[in-house]
Amino acid sequence: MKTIRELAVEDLQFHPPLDTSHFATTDDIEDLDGAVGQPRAVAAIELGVGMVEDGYNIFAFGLPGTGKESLIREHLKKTAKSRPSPPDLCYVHNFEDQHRPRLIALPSGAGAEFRRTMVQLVEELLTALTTALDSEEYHTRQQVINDEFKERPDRDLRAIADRAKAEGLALLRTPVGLAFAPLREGEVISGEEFEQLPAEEQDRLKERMNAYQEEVQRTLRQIPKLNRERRERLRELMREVTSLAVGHLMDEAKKKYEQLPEVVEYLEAVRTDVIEHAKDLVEPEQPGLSALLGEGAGRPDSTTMLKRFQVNLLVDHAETAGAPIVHEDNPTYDNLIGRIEHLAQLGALVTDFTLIKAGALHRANGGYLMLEAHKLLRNTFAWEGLKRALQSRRLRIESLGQALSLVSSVTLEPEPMPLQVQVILTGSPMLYYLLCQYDPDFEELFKVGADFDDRMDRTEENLRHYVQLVAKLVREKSLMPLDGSGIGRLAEHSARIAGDRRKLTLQIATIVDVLREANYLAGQDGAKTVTESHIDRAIQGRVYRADRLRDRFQEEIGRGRIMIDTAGAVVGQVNGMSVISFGNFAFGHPSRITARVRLGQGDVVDIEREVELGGPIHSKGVLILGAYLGARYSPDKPLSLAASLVFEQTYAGVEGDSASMAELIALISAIADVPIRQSLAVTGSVNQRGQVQAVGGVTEKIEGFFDICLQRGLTGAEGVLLPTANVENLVLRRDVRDAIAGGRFHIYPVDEVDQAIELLTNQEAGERGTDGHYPAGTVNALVEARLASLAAVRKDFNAPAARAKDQS
Amino acid sequence: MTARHQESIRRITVALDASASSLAALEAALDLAAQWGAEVEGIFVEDINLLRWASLPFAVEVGHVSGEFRRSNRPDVERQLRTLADRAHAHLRRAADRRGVRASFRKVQGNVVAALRAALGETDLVTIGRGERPRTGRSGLGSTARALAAGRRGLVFVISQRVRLASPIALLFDDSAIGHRALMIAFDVARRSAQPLAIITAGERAELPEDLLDRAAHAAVELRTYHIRTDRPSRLAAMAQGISAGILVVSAEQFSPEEIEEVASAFPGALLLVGQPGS
Repeated sequence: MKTIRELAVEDLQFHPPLDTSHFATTDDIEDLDGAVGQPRAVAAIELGVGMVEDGYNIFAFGLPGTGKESLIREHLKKTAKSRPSPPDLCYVHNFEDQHRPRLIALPSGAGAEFRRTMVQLVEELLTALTTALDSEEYHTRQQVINDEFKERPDRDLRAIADRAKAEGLALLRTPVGLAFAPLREGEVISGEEFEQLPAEEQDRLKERMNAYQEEVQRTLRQIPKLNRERRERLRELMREVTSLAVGHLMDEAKKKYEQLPEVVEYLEAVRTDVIEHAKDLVEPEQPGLSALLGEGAGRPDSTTMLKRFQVNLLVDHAETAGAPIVHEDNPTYDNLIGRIEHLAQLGALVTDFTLIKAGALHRANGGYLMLEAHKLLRNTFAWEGLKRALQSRRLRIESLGQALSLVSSVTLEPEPMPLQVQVILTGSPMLYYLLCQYDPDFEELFKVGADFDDRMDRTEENLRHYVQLVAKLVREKSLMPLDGSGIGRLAEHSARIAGDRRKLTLQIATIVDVLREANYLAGQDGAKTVTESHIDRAIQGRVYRADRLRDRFQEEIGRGRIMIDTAGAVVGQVNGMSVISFGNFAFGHPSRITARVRLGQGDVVDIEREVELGGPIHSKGVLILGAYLGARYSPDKPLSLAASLVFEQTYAGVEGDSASMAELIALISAIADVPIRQSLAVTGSVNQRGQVQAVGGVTEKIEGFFDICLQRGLTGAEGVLLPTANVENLVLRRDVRDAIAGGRFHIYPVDEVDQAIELLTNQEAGERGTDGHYPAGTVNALVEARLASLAAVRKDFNAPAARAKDQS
Repeated sequence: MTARHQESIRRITVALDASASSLAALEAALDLAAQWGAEVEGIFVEDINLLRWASLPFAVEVGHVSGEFRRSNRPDVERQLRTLADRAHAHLRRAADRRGVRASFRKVQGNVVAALRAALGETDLVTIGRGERPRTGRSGLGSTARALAAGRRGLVFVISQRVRLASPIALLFDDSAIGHRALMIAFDVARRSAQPLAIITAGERAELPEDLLDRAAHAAVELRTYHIRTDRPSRLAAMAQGISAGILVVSAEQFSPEEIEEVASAFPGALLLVGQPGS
């Protein structure tokens, strides 16, 4: 028999142990400086944040709750401090093309002052204009021009009328024009009277009327030209008066901003516009309609006119120290790129440059923008918009309709903003690898991948950091301090989450949740310190809230509806172990695996696969068994059995190869007709050489079988077999450890199938001797003999057919 | 000096030709009628001279807007006049109904000035538009208004399109019988429209009636008096404009027709010319 050392409870200790001797509570522990357990991610972030070249944006990926955002934010804060604050950004009216608002950059924090300056300047300009245009001088000169031009045609017409009257002709106003008619005694003569005039007189009158009509025509045709001249003279007068009125105010403003050529240029445009539209500014038209119709349609009202001089302070960095760090929680296309809002006026939607709203990229320009990848990708066209901005290094505010050329209505095209921003995406590894695979732009734009680990080695140094991390979290979240026992229990739970006694989890969010819940329980107890008991109750509470389904499984087994034997021995039947995961909770339970054999052609039928309940990995494991059996027990004869394997009473899919050792034992038992101990359960996969390989979920599986045995009463015979390679994964519950310590439950690590055979059958497995045979009475000898017998039978079956073939 | 002439305006005649200025005159006449409780008669004169001209075989007109020559004839002109009359009538009816003023409409054929002069004898006030030229915007007086002003009879209210009746009433006061009549009329207009009355005197200081202040106090009329040295009509009118007057009351005998024309050119509001009473 092979020697198999069962695990002692000491083998389940954590190593190295947690040293809590140097502190009473976490209050005594200094904060952790820097990150813990993420050297790879930190190196990536340091590189990404340090690089200023294009494309060195960062994608930080890792499991949820691994502290990606807080670690990145910590690094960004340090770097951002030493970088200059970016300029404030303003949109102003473009006096040459109102549909293309101009972008003006001002030194950081100067935007608000510029906006105030413009408000004050416009107030002063209006006062100056009103005074100038109300002046006696202006009115008099305006009157002189008006009189000169208005009186001229009237005077001319009167002169014509007077001359015509002297020649016996009257100038008449018809409903639509002017006409001449011969007069007699002050009255127009009738047709009969005219006919009675001498022919020469008639001709003279007609000729004179024609001449006067032509004069009138010339006079009337001069009127448009005179009106144009009059308007031009009035405009000239207005320019002269308003230039004088606003000149010194504009000069003062330009002097204030002489270091900023963009602003000076804008102020010059303002000056020209004020002079050109002075009358509209001080004599506003009825508001509303003209605002709707726009400038081209009529004279704008004063609100519209004055709005042109407003400053839309898009990004104000007055309160920003260093480079900005912006986190956009809702990264829609508009929230990233910015948007142009509209107002409803008289049933139509109108907009102007004051309705341009900044996006996160505007606010983060010159600094850093943090986004969650899954939110970004979920928002229609947000990812495309971000990529376009990063690729072109210009931020152009346009609606989705514009960007996709879906609408062509007149709207604004604000001047694009040069973009210098570093984007940091956070997300899951799956998203990262999918983007790498399917988006050709991704690796070009996100050259730095920061891979966040979800666990770290349990070294002495890391344990110290772990304690510091817990202390920091406790203080950050304003929780009660933990004593040494509390931290010890938390570290144990961390190992369990990591699934390895030599590791500690880095899923900080889960640790924080446990800390918060323990803090609550401690508060309920009126305690001042969180202890092991509070942490333990918090963990148990989390399990209790999630384990209804596990209870249901155990109940079904307890009531015999799911058949599991934990005593006696049965041929071809073994207790395998499965794990069910849902949400963030997983539990194990035993599953009965049975095997039946008969004469056949070497087929090992996986019933799960036949009914499409078995996954590919499970099928692979079963196929390996056939190969193992044939190679080990029947290397020179056809494997002449037909075997079937089944997971009894499973009604959902089975996946994974962790039951392949159990399936092999069941097969061997069935072939050799050797019963298997039902007090033991088995997990582990086997390869073609019969070596036992590591599997997952061993802690949950053992606890699942333990719970069933405990339910029925531990006799001291119960236990489990698992791959030796999995021993370090065991982070068992205290009650399981206590049972092991008391010899009431056993864990047997095995490296090869024969060890498992001996443990499960209480018979020697047997080594093939120098004579090529297994020792008589051993399990392997029985297997070999049975297979040889089946091969012989098969040969006999095939003999008549062979003979018939020879004769033919 | 005391003057207690109580004017009563019970009937207002308004000359209509459907032009913008005549429609403004109509609106003003209806406003006054509403204040005085008067009735309004719209009179549309089909100018006999125009009809005679249209009967001439060689009748040609020069278009106001186009400046083009157009042949014309009597049926065309009659149709045009009929259209204008109908439009003026409809406007009168709507505007009078809106104010609850009793109104009638009459169409006559004849000489325009003669017809309106005749109306002056039958009515208390003739209202007429200034006859502003639509293309030049000239703000003096039209030929009809000039002719009526020259007659110096009755009350002639010359309305500009830009008149604002709800504004102070200004009076160019002279110490004549007609001047005092003008004062009383201006006073009544101010009282009924609840507007201040600004009395402007020029040259030698004219003496205002002794009881004017008492009457003003009693009638709650705010009196303002102004005096300027010059008696140039345009300066007086400019002063009225300077105090934002909407109506300027002038004695027709105070100025020659040319001076009244000068006043009209300098004052953009409404002119109320006060002449001798009766026809």
